[in-house]
Amino acid sequence: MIEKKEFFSNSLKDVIAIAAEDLDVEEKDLRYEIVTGKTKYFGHKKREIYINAWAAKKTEGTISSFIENVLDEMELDISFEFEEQDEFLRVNYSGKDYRLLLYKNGNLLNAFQYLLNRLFSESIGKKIYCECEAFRKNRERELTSITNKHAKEIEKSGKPVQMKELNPFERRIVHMTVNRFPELQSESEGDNFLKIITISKK
Amino acid sequence: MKNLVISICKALVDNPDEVFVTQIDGEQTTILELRVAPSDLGKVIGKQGRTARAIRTLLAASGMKQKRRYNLEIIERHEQQ
Repeated sequence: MIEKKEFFSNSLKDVIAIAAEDLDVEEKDLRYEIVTGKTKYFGHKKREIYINAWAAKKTEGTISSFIENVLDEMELDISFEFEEQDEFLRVNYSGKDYRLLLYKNGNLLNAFQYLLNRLFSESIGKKIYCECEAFRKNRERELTSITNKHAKEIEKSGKPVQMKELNPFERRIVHMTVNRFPELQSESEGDNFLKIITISKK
Repeated sequence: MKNLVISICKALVDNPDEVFVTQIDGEQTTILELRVAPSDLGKVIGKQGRTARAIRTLLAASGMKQKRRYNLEIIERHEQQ
């Protein structure tokens, strides 16, 4: 989907400059992967470096038209905007049908996030993060408070507690919260994408 | 809906020209039969079926809006003709 082009030169700096000029973008908007750092013969001069390069800005356009197309086909009344962050490209969804996105624990939102990452995260060089109506933030707060409640119960009674099936993002929050209690430990069970966490005393 | 599956799958696979979807409309259910090149099967199914499940989630959500059921079937074997 994203067109990559191969370039080579004697040094990485040179090859980036060549690629940027050829693709007509500034160097900071260029993304590349190094194919080989071939050393022909001995010595410095004959070294050639090969890279595959593409333009990041154009990729954002591709992503945006992909999402637009998908939402159109699905006949959903949802709009979205990008928010560029250091580690993520955030996609904020909003609109009339936002409830569908969050239905069943954000099933559709997660599906979008997964597909977008599969298709594009490699080429933009960062993860894509989908958010809608502060859903993930709220979920994080909710899970932290549930975990804290369980933790206090366990400290009193000593009986282990099993939580509902959670996805990796949610499990991370639970594990991190449990880590704040030095006497408690948490463990995931299962082979599926969704696993059950048991919190118990050490 | 056929186009949705086609456009997502074409983006996923190495051989976009070999993506075919047949739509079979029933009374309440629509079956979408997806055929891809054998080497691309893994790509549309994904690790532990995650990609296939994500596409099905999209279809289900869209179906909820349209009051229709969509069934995605990934055909794993090319029928002999």
